[in-house]
Amino acid sequence: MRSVSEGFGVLGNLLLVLALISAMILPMSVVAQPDYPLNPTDTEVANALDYLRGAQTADGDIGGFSASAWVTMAIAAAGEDPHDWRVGSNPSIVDYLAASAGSASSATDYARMILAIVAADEDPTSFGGKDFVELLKANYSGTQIGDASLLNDDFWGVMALISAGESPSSRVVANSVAFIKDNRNDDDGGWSWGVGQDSDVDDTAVAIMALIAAGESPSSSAITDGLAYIESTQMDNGGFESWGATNADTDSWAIDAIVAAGEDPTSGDWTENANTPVDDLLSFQQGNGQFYWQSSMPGAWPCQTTAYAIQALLGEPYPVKVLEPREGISVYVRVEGQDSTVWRGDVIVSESDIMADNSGTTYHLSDPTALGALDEASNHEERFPYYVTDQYGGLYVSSVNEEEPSGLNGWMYRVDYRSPGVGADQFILGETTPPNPPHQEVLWYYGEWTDLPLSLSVDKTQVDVDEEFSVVVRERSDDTHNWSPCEGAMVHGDQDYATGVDGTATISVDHDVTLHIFAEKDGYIRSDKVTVTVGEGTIQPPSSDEVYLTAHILPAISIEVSPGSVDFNDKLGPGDISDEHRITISNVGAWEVKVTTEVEEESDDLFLRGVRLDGKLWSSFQAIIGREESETTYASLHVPEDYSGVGPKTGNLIFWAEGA
Amino acid sequence: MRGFFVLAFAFLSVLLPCQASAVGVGAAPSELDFNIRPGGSATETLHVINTGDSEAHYRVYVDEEYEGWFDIAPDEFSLAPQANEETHITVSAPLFSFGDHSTHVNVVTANSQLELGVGAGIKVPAHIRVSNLLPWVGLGIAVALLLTLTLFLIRRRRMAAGEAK
Repeated sequence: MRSVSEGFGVLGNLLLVLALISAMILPMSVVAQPDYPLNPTDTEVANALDYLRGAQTADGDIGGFSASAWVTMAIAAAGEDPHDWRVGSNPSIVDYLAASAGSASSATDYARMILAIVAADEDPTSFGGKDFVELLKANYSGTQIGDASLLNDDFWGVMALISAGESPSSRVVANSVAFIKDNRNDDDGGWSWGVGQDSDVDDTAVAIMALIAAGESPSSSAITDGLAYIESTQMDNGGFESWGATNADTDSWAIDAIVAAGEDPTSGDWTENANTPVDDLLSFQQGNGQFYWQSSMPGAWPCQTTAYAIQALLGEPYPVKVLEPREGISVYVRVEGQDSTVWRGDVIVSESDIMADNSGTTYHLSDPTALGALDEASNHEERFPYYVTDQYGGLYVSSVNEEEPSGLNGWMYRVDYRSPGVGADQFILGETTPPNPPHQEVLWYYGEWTDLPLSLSVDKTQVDVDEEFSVVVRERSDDTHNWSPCEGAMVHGDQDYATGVDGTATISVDHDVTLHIFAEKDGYIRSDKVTVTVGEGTIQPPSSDEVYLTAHILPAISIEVSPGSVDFNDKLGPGDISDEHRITISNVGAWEVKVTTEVEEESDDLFLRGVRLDGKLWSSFQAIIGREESETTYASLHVPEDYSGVGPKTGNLIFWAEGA
Repeated sequence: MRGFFVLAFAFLSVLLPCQASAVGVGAAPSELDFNIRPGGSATETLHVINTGDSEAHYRVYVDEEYEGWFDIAPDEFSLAPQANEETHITVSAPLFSFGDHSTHVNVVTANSQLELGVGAGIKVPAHIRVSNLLPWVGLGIAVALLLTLTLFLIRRRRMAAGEAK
């Protein structure tokens, strides 16, 4: 029989153990977050979705044109149908995006639209009357997407094309991925918004998502180094530093990248001072479900920030949905005619039905062939005609775009610049050798058997007006399969330039223009075109039979105000008057304007009561300014005697113009 | 991307305070006219251009009185120097809002992060005519009046001829 004291001892031990267990469990349950990733029904996500739902307007828009695309992705990521998101029977958010399709005008606009359109289960090649995939591809320069000085348009462009079903091996994706990798900052493993800029978390996160979407292994050094960079910016609150502090947008994209790489952002690896990135992200959520950009700052795009956060919490990185790539081999096809390029672009080749025009017999090619690539390039002869004959045994292309063979000249093809030893209907892309697969380019050209390919490269694709850049033309040897400098080639840019012994020509252009530079030489196949933007670019060089009309139209009403700020840095006190600061208002529009001023209501009372223009209160200012004329006024600050504020103050003085 | 937008925000909060260069704005057309039936809507395009010498953030809004009538997309954006943006201004007229209405669509760029930011803005007059009298209705009424007058004159001549007999 156990004594009372023994029994108490056992009970005491039991209670002690229970107490210890409780001590371990209770604090955890007090601070417990929902398991990561969260579900759409979890309060944090549900409230965020409710906030977005409440922000929808009658036309379907949530937070504006750009934000609506992000919100559409978040809705889809949460497993809801964006088509159902509408106010009553009004247009849905998808209807709104379709109606606003014309607002998209840049590579990043097109990319964002594609990501949203695919997320909404719509067709990105036909949405709101636009083919966004084609629009985005039109921004591909031959080596990268969009502005050559920027990287963010490549990150999002790659993700968007993959989302739209583009093959990772396609030229546009493969080359853009190479551009992204080439422009990684080797010193820290991160990426920036622009080429040569310092790394930041947002862009590194997006680069990681883009590379993984394009098939990069999460264990590759590009991804692991990128994640290491992100980790190096983690702060004690668990979030990631951006401009000195954490914010919801940066946290969201970093979490997305971590998840895309197959890691858990709430794991010990991503915990700093007992805080995870998810803890920090949730700290920005407000009572109404909205996510602030920072603790006390809603940010400029609250719906967008909230949409980012929803995806991060759900563990749904970008792209939200990916269309199945079309079956077949993706290759770049270039068709070089006698005097000009007939067509060039990417195609996907699978099986083909080719009709021999002489016999009327249709041949089914069950494999992706070089001839099938020509058929795809011609869009089955809707883009340009081609003539095939079977009278010599195999299928032989006798004319393309109505350019007929003559003498020793005729239509031939090369794969990756090599002349294959089999007919085009026998060359199976991705399989036949030589050259070794994967095959990147099928070149169809009009010329002689002895003609050799030319290549052209430039040292810069974006230059200032009058800035020199170098063009190097190389010729390929069919014997050694090597490229060597080509002397005496004619480079066609804004004018013609002959290459020197080193194959180089130096060009500078004295006006804004977008050049599509290529090289030619007798006995050689015309080179591919490389785009170089000079200054602002955009003006296309006229061909010989075109007269280009250009004009620069001024807006009817337009003003410029200089300087853009006034610093009354005079250590002023109540009753003091600052020095005068000169402000110039210039009419840079076409019409005469009437200019008035306003100190914005949100400005500090100091400015509302104290700003004087030419000695008078700002509200007295009025000027009529003619075209190309300017008006000068002198601003001073009269600190009211009863003004009680101290420290730095901010405000805005607006010069308003309207037609006189 | 400080992606599409985070960088733009960063520009606003970090870069712009460092610059005191010129700010500018241009807008076209100089006026917006909307002819709408009650309950209907109409959309016009306003082009906004950055005539300043640095990237700037723009806001497009309408005078408070008519705020509920307008939808502006996009209503906020950043523009590089000399870049422009197409803004779609849609006016939806409430029922029983017959008559002529005037307000302004305002385009402004400014930066309140500075001690005294100096901004530039343009007030684009917007005229809204809310009427059920569509052009073809007016034309129909005019034709009907003309026919009535013609018939009246013919009948009067016939009556005059009858009296003369």
